[in-house]
Amino acid sequence: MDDGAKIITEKLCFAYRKRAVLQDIDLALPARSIIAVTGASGLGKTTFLSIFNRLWEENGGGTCRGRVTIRFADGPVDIYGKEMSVSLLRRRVGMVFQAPNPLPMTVFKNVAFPLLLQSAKSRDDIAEQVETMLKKVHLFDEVKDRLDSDARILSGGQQQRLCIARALMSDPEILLLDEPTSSLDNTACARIEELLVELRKDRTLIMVSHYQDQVRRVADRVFELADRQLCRIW
Amino acid sequence: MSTFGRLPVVLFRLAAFGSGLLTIAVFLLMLFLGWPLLSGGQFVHLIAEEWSPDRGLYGVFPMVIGSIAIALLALCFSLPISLGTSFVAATLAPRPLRRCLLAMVRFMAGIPTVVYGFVAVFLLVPFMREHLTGGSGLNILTASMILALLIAPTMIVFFVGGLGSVEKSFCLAVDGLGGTKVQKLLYLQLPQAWPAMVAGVVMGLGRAMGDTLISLMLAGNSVAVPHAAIDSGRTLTAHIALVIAADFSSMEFKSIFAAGMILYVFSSVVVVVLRLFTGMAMRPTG
Repeated sequence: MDDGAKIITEKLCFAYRKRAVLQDIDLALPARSIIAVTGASGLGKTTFLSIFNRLWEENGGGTCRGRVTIRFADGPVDIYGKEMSVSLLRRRVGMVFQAPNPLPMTVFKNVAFPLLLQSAKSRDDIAEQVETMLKKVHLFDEVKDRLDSDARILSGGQQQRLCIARALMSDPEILLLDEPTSSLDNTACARIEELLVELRKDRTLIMVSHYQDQVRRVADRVFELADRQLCRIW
Repeated sequence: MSTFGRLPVVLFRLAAFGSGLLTIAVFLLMLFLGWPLLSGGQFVHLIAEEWSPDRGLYGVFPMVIGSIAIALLALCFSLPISLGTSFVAATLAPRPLRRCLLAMVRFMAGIPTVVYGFVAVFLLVPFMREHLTGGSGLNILTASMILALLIAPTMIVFFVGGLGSVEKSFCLAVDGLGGTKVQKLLYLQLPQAWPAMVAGVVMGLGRAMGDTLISLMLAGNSVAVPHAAIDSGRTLTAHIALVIAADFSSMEFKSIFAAGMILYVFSSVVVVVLRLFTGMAMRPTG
């Protein structure tokens, strides 16, 4: 086992309705870095991401074998172990989806939603944390007058930054990003990239991306998914 | 668009127009047949008076009370059952169990009313008579309990449809944030499915108000105004069914049109009020 690794997979296999998607993958992914996964469409990049927060289990039809260990701040955890709570895992391994998916509620409530799930904090604490998080994703100045408006009226780029702020609200140690800029224009894309580089300082980011330029700009390590295997490119 | 291409559109519009027209026509027919009562100023008496043909009183007030009591009581029994079942069937249960549960609910919806009535007459009525209500066991409570079972599948199907229609991306967002199934239900699905839930309640209430056989078989059909759930009672629908065999020109016969009109107006008012309420609840506040 790699001593400096944040995530370790051993003989990881994944099949969807008996069709093998990933086969015997052994990886050691470093902490505080951006790991990019590239590859042709339909080969299972999103599935690969969803293995780390067990989100694939929501769709059914999948089978996962092997071992995935994450070294959280309080010790290593086999995320498919019997004592692992899926809800807790997903609060520690956040996810940002390909298309921005703000919930049908206000900007404020969207960002505060993870705190509602944890049923903690006073009203003032929540407001303070929402503001901090919106500032962290450089969105506060743009939405400070619209905190009580429906989040779905924001632009695509703003929505995606809102989703990143929401994902960061439960302070995850790992952030999974499934093509987070694919539906955005160049300006919005550049802002998200800057944000990802900032987030790398204290988090591990695993990002699926089709854009080679983007991967070169932000990633520390790049893998290509092909023939059910992940090959390290650099 | 070609004539052949336009044909389905025209047919669908005709069907929609026809069904709307039919609804109005039913009301107009009842109005026409009940006009002698309305024009003679007897309609108000019919609603407010008791039913005692021996004394020349043909009021349907006891039946109005009976209908409302049975329908509301049935809704009270059915709502928690339907909500619980729909939560399990839509979200909480594992996928195979959900499918099984929904198949059973749909099967329940297809069982003829008279079967529920029969089962109740042989199982529930003796139980109520001996252990709970005394008397004949035929009363408002017995009828509303079975009516609750009858309307539950309709409500469950609406509730499950509403809860299941929440956009998948929203559900995925909550899953991704570590929301449990119960949290997803409470914070996302229920607020989103609110209109469908109200529609389910309206449909359930409408079905409870409109059902004839259960109240006819189980409510006891007393024409006295019921004062308690264990009293015997008669609904408007049961009253129409019981009186329809009377002489066509008698006052007794004419009174059933008043009963029909009350039923029609009452159902319409309930639907309109609930629709307005839903509209207000759904209006954005931010």
